[in-house]
Amino acid sequence: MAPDRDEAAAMTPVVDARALLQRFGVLALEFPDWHVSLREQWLVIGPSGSGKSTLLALLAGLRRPSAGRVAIGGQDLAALSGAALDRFRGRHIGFVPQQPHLVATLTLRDNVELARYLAGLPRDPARVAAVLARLGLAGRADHRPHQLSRGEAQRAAVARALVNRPALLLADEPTAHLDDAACAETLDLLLHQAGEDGAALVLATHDGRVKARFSHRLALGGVASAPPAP
Amino acid sequence: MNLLRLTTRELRANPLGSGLAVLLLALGIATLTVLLLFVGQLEDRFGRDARGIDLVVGAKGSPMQIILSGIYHLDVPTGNIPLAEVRRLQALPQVRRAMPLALGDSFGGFRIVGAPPEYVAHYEGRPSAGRLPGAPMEAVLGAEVAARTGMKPGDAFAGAHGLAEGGPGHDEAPYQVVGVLAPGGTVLDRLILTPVDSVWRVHEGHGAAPTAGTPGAGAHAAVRDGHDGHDGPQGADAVADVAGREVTVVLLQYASPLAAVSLPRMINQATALQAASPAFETARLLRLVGVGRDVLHAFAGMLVAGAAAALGVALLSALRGRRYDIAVMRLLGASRAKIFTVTLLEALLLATAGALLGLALGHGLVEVLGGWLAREHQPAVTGLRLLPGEGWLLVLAWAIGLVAAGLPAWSAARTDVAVLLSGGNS
Repeated sequence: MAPDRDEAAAMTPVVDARALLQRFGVLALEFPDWHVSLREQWLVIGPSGSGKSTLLALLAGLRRPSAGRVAIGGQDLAALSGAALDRFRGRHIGFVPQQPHLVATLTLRDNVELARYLAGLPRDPARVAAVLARLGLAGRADHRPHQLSRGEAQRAAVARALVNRPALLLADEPTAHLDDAACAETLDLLLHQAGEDGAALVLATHDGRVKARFSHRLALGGVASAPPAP
Repeated sequence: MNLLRLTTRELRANPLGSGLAVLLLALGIATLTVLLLFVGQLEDRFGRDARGIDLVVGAKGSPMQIILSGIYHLDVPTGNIPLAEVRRLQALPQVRRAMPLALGDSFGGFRIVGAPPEYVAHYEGRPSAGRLPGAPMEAVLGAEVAARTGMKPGDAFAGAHGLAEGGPGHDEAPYQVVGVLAPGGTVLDRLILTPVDSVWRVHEGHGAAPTAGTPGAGAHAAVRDGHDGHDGPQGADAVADVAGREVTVVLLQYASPLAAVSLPRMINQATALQAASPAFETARLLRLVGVGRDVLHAFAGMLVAGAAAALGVALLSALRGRRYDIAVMRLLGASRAKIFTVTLLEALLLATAGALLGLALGHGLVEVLGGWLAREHQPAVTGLRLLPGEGWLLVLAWAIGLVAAGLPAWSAARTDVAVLLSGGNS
């Protein structure tokens, strides 16, 4: 999936999930068939234990489903072996975890650059600088994570997720434990930045405050819900 | 950003654990380095000093003492032997060459050895300044003697009775320094060599020939028994003719290997002399030294095993603290193999640091020890020498690093990213 997506690529769903099932011992989480197109912004919502994080892990290739199929940008994740899957994830999927989890020993710039290095992409200082500038972090590039405010660290995590121009940006509970203002700011950031890079956004949360900001919603319960109407 | 940079950053984040592992490994490697350098150089030196000498004959006593005093000039001689006996030995068909040595005096703690010219030639000694002695009372200094005493050709000195410093002087019969030998890494380096006649002449001046003076009791016994007379129990002083003159030991070379079968037995059984085989006695000595070496090896082994455990614990502890970093790295595209490699690389870097520090420590320690031994007029060892075996110490350190990192690396590579980053959410 090239960063400059052509028309053909635009026709391919970014996420194509079919008959997904994840077993945990005797328990099983079943997910509906689901498609996400380029630039779409989806909210995956449901109570704790409904399978939101599991779904994101399946989409990111961090888990192999017990049954069913996930394709990202037309690439069946099951067809990729371990290292190839890791590289694919690094190049095409951005992930913003609940906590920023920046590498403490690296500067902010190095943290963002790390995403390119681990994805096997060539160094691109200009791209790193541009992403940091876009997120208002240009002046903090040489600071270490412990020198950043929580908001700055969260923006750095977004910068790291976007630096490789992913087709799909996944965010897992990014607004948990944030006050209303910070919650709104984080949402603005994710929606705007994903849009600016042309990435599809899938945000999983149990936080009801964010519902209104998304037109596409996938509600999960104890059992997977039916896909939303188009 | 690259793997090495990433790894060194991670190591610097845990200086205490990393430092302890490096220190323990360094101590183990340093101990092994000291053993390797010290024992290696000592064995090498012993081998070089005894090379080409098949048998040492001296007065009855301990064979090892004869070897230590006659070849390595470390111990006191067992006594003197008549020169006439030496002449008889030289005439035997089993003997190709016999080099009589006369000991008894010293200067500044360095032994004055009366020796024939072929003794210097045997060790391939050549003057770096001046020449070899050509007449009685001329002396050539070993390189170490010259360096320590500051004497040079043209200087004169008087020997002291006995083989240790502080004996009564022979001021009436000074030696003339005519040359200094180039360093050869042999026993010559720490000897003062003069014709055998010189030693006799010094003692004839006293009306006597040398005793096999001991550094302690022997020399003092000679003094106690009347230094002027030199008729102490350590060996009566020789007189000026062959019939009455004495030397301390004679170094023999066999005419043929068959001589090894008959000659020692013949000497030990049919004469009042004692024959000792350098090969046998040196091997016995090294076996005795070997017990201590084995103990030190075991000690070093324990240190190294402790270092491996400390390294493993340090890595595990560091990785536990970095589990989110590892999860993020996996999320960003790092394969399990890359995570495994980063952890192994950390261990290898620590092992390399420990090995290099240990080698430096070991060499430094041997150099200090060598300086002390030189001051004690013992065979010198140096830390400023690299042995091929030291490469294996580096390999050993890497092997330890890899073994110690195995479990932490496997554990890091198996990190469940999804569980860790979701913080328990499903």
